[in-house]
Amino acid sequence: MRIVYPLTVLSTEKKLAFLYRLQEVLRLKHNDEGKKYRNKEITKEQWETFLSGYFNFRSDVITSEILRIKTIVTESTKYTVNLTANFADD
Amino acid sequence: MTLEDFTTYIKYDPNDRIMDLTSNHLEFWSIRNMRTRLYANYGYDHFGDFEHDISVRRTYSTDNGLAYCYMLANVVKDVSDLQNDNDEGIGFYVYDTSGGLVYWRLNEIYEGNSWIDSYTSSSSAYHYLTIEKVSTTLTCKIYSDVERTNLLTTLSLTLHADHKFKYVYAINTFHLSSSVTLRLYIDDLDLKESKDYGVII
Repeated sequence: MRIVYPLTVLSTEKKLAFLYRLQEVLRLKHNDEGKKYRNKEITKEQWETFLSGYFNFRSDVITSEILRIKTIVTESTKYTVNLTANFADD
Repeated sequence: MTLEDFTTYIKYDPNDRIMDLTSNHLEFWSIRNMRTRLYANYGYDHFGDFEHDISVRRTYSTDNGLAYCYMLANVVKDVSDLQNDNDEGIGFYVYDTSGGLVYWRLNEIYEGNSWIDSYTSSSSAYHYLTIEKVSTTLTCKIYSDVERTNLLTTLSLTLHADHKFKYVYAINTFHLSSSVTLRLYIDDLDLKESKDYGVII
């Protein structure tokens, strides 16, 4: 399984933003299913099937891609930064 | 599920900062200038890839209060000493910043450097952590319920080496010459492995 980016998401910055949104939507999906399980609307087996057959793969792929893009962004010298000028007290 | 028995762990607590220590529960009134730790030796290279669960609650802290509620390392030291001595470790700590935010942080320490991924929560409710290492990927999922059906966030780090560790810490301190404090309740550390230790070296 891999991430399929929309055609408009080309830059690393956009990819990172897209991945965090994807992770958030997956988290909400997880919690919707978790709520169904807590409310006994789905069985334990259905909950575990959701985790093993749907959530875990997607979560792992998103995490791997976030870490890959974060490394690129962190090591990028695209922006000039200044540890004094880029902070304000207010 | 086989929970760790904290009463069998090795305690270094000259200032009596660990309280209410029972088999699956402890209370830790950390003070930064008082080195404190509770740990167990599982043997050389024991912890490679793993999934560990622990429950943690922060009920009180002052600015710059910080305490580790989980750690793996190959030495027995305060975390500041571990970092200064270029030892490696991975861990999870709670940190009350001077800005009023409380950070829950996944952490790697390696070659004198420290890397983090953070979640912000000032809640005094229990947080249920699942920490997983697969090769050089370290993640921590934080849930609001013990059944782990309500996910709050996923923290992640790319580790700088495929570490293997000998010691597991239930608590540790990061020394600072200040009496700032942070109070944790720690419960139900589950290393998800059998208790047949084999030969410990």
